[in-house]
Amino acid sequence: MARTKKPEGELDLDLEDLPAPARWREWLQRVEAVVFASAEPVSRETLARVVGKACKVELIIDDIRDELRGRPYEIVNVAGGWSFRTRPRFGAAIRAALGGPKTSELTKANALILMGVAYFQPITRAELSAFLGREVSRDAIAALRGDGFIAAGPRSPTPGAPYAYVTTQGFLSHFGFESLRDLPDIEKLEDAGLLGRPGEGGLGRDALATELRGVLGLAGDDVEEDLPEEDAA
Amino acid sequence: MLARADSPAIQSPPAPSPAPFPAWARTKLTPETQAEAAFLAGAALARLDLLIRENPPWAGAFRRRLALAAAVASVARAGRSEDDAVLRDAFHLTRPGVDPGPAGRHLLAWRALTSSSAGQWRAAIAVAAETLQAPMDAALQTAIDAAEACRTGPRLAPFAAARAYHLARRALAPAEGRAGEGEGLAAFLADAVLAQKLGWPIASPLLAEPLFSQARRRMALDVDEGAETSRILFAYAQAAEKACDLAADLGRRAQKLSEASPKLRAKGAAAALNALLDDDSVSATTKIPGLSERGARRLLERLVSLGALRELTGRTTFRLYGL
Repeated sequence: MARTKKPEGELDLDLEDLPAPARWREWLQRVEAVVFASAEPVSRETLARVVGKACKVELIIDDIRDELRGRPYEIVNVAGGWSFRTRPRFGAAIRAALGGPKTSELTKANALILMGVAYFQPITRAELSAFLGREVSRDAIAALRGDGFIAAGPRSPTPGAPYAYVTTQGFLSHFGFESLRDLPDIEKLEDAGLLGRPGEGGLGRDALATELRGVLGLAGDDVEEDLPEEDAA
Repeated sequence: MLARADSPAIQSPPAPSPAPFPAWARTKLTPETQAEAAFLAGAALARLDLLIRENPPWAGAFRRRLALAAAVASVARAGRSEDDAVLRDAFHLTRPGVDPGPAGRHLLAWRALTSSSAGQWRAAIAVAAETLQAPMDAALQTAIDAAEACRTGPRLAPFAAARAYHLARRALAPAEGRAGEGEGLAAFLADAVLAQKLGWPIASPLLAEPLFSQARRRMALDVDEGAETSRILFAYAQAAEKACDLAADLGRRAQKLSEASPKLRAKGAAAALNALLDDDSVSATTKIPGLSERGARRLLERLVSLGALRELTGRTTFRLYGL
């Protein structure tokens, strides 16, 4: 696809008057500034708007990554774009100073539901309940939707035409995945033939649920303790 | 009784049923040399070329069904187990603009190839990459440039497509998080190149299905180009043969549909028949001009009871109809 977007006049992209090293430096700083200023991951196309045609964005990113070596934050590729993130090992320090993240903390039960959606999307609430061996409440789904982690996808051809849920770009970005293929152990699930749902038959649901728990390293009783009481209501 | 004025008239009288696919060109054994593979590919593609140039009224359904087969193959290649029924559901039960899930996205991507003229392949690959959430990055740009070079280069059609696949596959391989999509996009580009080399008005998804079913797991990247070319030539031979068989089947079914059309008295019947000939499957909620949802459902059910149409899901609700 030809990059036809060329802002008229105000921003000099090609920087013909600068010597090559200074030009590269300017491009690099522009890219860094844009990524720094953006709350969301910045895509390659967006970054291509502030550098010359001859400039490879990937190389610029590599240089930025090199420069940040030894700093407590890094530039990472998430959700189809680039973003600055603090390095994981400073998590404890940040939490000690600022407390947890401002968004509602994921409960363990909701995290399990979210993982179920991530691995087996599109999946309905009823199917999730069957997989997890636990009623998945509407509130739990609403909470995950409120956090922007999941969204309604296709409807399921079952009575009532319930929505099947899919994960969003926000989910990828929040957990630092570039794509769904970065989910932990997804290869294991592939090899076991567990991804996706064949029309009928296939593995029993109990087997699937066991497998899912095994892969995610979650022991069954651990989860049960943590389930909110709303199920009983 | 005379047919009503607005009763659908299927355009031309049906063409005399085409001669069957020649038995000598069928791909029974894996060829041992590249020349054999090339011969089979040439014979089968020539046959398919005739068919496509005729531009039968059911060409839309033909291409969409090939797209479905390609999507099933690339979904399987990505390590998932959705079959064609699940993909059809994902497509029909998702509102436009809503994410149909990882498997449904493959179908949308392949349909993009068949939704515009073959010359619009750059736009189609951009749509496909976006649908599959593969970024339009330098690697993909390299793959597209390689396809462009093959398209304008001097190689003969299936060889140009094989070269395009070879280059695109390597360009897309190293990127992380792409293992499943890289091969699919490479096959997509190869089909686009083939269609333009053969002068087809709209590309047909051919390569993915036979190529991805040859070996379950991902192909190694270090195979030499000659071996890969042979494999792709043979895949095209298989694909074109299967496509010809599919076309013969669809031709018969379209014939049955057109024979039943005088019995239809609903107002939007002509539009409904066109929709059926133009797509792999149609649901009662598919927008058909002149027909309400209830009217469409009645009409489609009537066609099924006349034996002129198939119901594809076997369900009693959320039914999908197609040739």
